[in-house]
Formats: sequence, structure tokens, C-alpha cells
Amino acid sequence: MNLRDRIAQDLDRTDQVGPDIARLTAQARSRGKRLALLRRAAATGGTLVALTIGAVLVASPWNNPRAGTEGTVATDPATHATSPSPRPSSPVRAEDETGPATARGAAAALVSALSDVTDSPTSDYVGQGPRAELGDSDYYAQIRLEDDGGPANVEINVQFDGGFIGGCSETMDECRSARLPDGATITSYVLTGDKAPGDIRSVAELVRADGVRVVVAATNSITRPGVGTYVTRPEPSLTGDQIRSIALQEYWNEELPAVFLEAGKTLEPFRAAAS
Amino acid sequence: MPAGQDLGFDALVRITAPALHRTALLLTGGDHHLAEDLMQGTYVKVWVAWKQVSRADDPVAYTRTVLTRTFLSHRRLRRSSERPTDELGLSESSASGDQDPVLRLDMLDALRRLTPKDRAVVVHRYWLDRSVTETATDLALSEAVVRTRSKRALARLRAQFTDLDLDPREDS
Repeated sequence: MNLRDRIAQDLDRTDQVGPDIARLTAQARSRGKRLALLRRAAATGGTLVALTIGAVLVASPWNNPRAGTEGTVATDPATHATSPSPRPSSPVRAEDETGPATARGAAAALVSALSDVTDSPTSDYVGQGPRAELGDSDYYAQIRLEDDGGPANVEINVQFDGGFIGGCSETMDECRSARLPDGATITSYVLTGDKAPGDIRSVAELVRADGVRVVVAATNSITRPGVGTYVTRPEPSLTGDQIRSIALQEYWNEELPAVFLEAGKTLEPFRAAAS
Repeated sequence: MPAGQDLGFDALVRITAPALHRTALLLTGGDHHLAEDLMQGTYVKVWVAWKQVSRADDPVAYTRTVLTRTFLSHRRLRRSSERPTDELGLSESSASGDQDPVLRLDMLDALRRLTPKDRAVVVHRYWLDRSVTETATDLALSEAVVRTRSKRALARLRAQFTDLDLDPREDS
């Protein structure tokens, strides 16, 4: 039997279903549209036009750049369960062209991740990039999201120190933790009164098999640097599923997709977070 | 597909997906999830560049090239975890089955054990039936590199599939 026939024979045995053409088409359109928007924003400058509709609030909030990292996290085997890992669809993937993460790039990446889960407008971009001089690859971004319920901050913290365990601890309300098929652990919980009376933070913490920790928090408040945290709405602006989806994006790595790095260069209004 | 044909994106996907799916499976060594991701990434790029793709001489070939280059680009980023081996490509069932393992060698498994570039060369040359020159263009390699990689890959496959009947062209 020749090589081609041999390959065909094995393919026939393996590939009995074929591609889902409707799904491929729909997802390519969906991801392609967002990717095109990001590229256009990067090329034309200014804010990420399609993703930043609506009012820009006056305040320039700054929250703790290590938000969501406090406390000792202990694994609670009782709360672990194996579940499928529905990786979110995204206009970009980790395998796209990348470059070292920047504060602005992290904020742009968060804008994109948000656009996958909500149509609400964003504003007031804050970021803290890796500090190469300290050998620190961690980065942080914060964005204000505003829907009919009022403005509130969404934050992401990506850490590469390793040694993270993940899982629930006694300080976490409504905690759920699951082991994903790829070896990651994702934990969702709620913190109340952490920053101010009535403050609610809905948190998703992903500890990946490669040791990277991704913490996404949706709040019901905004923070003004040096002034304080103000509760602006009864509940956080995103659901647990939405913040989990953001944490599960594959591109939260020491290098971020180039399209985000480019878009971040012109992201406004942007403020670098204090160290 | 002739140039200038009024082909929409949906039609291109419909026309190319079945064959591309098989090529993606071969490039990924039979990993259905990776193959699906690869196809998805390819069609996103094609959608974004649709104006250019639709004007190409051969949109199908253009799409296929995007697929291969996306695959190679993806592999470059993961090179640190690449572990090509010389082990025989025995399917799982062969390890415990009673049949002669040689009869149950899996070509997809054998392809997976080639380096990504060697695999891409084999797929282009012997599955897609592309010439050395065309393969070199598709993969952005020199013709000499295509020949070298092709020879090396075939030698490995020959060692595993002794019953493989290779066309003389395949050694050129």
C-alpha cells in the first residue's frame, strides 16, 4: 500500500464525523469581527472604539494592584470536582504573534476579554506592567464597566511566581472549586466588606497546570485613589460564569498577543498604576 | 477554484472544511481538538483577510496555506515542550491486543512523532500531492530543505511501516 492510501485508510478510521461547518463559520465570523475591530483600533489610535461606547466617568480609580491575592488559600478537597473546561471563544489565541506584556497591553487584553462576555461599555483603564528590573513578570489591569445597574470595576491579576495551590478557604463565601481536565484548578468565590461596607467582590481564581495564577474580580464598587471605595450598585457587574470565562482565556501569559499590545498603546483614558 | 469567482465566505468554508479538516488532523497527528482549534484559527484569519482572500487566484489554496502556516507558527511557540521521539507509533490497542503489532501501526501516530516541519512536508508532498517547489512555497522553506526533510521523514516512516510501497518520486 502506498503512503497516501495508508494515510487515507487511517483517516477514514479516525475521522468519521467530519467538521461542524456551521459552527466553524459562525465562530470565524464572531472572532474575526472582534479581531478586526481590535486591529482597526490599534491602527487608528484612540480608544478601542467598538468596545468603549458610552460615558467616560470622571474619576480615575485605582485599586490595590494585588487585589484578590490576599489571604491564605487552602485546598479544600471536598469542594473539588472534575468538570469540563469550556475554553472561551476569543478573537485571538495564545498562539498568535506575541510580545512581552505591558500595562497597557494587559488593559487592552482585558477589554477584549470583557467584550467576549458583555456588550457593556468600558472606560478608565488602569494597568501595571511587569517590572523587569525586579524580575517580576506579574501584571495587573483594572477597567470600569458600566451597564444599566451602574459603574463598577473589573480587575485582573496575572502572576507567575508559582507555588499557588488554588481552592477554597474559610474566608471565601459561596466558594466552588473544580479541577479542569488540563490540570488547572478554578475557584469561584465572593468576598464581602473587603474594601468598604457593602462592598462585594465576585472572584474567579485560576491556577493553571503551568503554575500561572489568574485572578479576575468583578466588583459592585468603584475606587478613587487616595479617597476610598464607593459602592455603586447592589451586585457586581459580572456573573461568576463571565469572570470565569475571562480567567480561562488562553492568552494570559508573560507574553500577550501583539494585537493587544498595539491596541494598548493608544488606549485612553489610561493610567499606570502605582507600584 | 478559478480566480474572480463570486465566492462568499460561507461557501469557502463549506467547500474547504472537509478537506482542511483532514489536513488539520494529519498536521496535528490525529488530535481532534487541536485540529479543530487550528481550523478555527485559520478561518478567523481568512475572514479578517477576506478582501484579499476573495481576490486571490486560488482562495482554496490560500486557505490551505494559512492553515499550514498557522500550524507551524503555533508549533514554534510551543517548541520548548516539543518531544519528538523515535518510538514506534503503536496505537493504544496494539499494546494489549493479540494481533501482530506491525499490522496495527497507526500512520497518524507515526506522523505525530515526526517534527512538526517534517510532518508538514510529508502532508504537503504526499497527502496534498504538492510538488517540491509548491511545498517550499507553501511552507516558506527552500526546496533543498523540503527535500532533506522529506527524505528524513520517509526514512522514519519506512522504518516503522516496512510494508509501505513508496513511489520512486517520493525519494527525489
